[in-house]
Amino acid sequence: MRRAVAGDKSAFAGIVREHQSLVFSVAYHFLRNGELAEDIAQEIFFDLYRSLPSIKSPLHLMAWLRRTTINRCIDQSRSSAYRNEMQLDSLAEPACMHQFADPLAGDMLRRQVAALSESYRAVVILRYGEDLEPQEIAKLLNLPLNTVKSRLHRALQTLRTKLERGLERKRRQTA
Amino acid sequence: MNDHLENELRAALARIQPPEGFADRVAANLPERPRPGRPRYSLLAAAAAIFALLFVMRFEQVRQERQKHAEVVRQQLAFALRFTAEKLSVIDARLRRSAPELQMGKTKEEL
Repeated sequence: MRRAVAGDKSAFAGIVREHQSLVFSVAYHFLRNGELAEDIAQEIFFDLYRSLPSIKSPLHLMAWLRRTTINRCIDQSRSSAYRNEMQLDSLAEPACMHQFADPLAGDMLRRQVAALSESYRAVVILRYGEDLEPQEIAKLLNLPLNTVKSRLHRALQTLRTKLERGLERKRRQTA
Repeated sequence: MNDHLENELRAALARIQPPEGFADRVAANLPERPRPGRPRYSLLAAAAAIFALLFVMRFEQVRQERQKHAEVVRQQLAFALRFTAEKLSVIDARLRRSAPELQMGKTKEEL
């Protein structure tokens, strides 16, 4: 990290390789658009390169990346241009997605997460994608712990309801 | 049901890698970064110019205030002198009326 701070670009590329899956995954799951996620990830690493002298430790770096990625994705998701472009059904899955016992459920779940409001989507992705505890999410997003817990609870309720309805509809169609 | 859903979410939102060569593309397009600890001379120069301008403006303001004050004092002094001169001439006229011998410019002893 010291070499990267001093301006060594190959050392910085090492940092990018180490953390690229974190940034890209959060952005991809948030936006469900591979190209957009890659663009945003690239911009975030450019920002990181400029801000690197102020990063104090590897833990600080991880928190900085998560916070910046979430905030950038929320901004992107709220922008009207993105809303107009975004059509969930037309988006392709990345090649290395996890295989579910019921492939319909996995695909539907990702779609339903992407359809949640930005504030719910952020806590769900950090909780289940990044495996953070609610306290860590609260600290990261500068929110009260109870707000995080209630958003998680409501998001799970919404997902469960929609998932059950969706699966029922698909089964009826296939039957 | 919740545990099942949570496990499904963990699987659905698992980490994925960006396309091949992502890190190299980022490294190749990195922006310029100001060197750590190096002062930003343009900012310093701008700050110095603003400071100098404020100093000159304040100096000019003080000078103008002093000039105005001096003018007021000059007018007051002129008025006071004029007033004193008038009073003195009135006193002089009364003195001459009450002691006509003084009109000749002689003292009592001389008379």
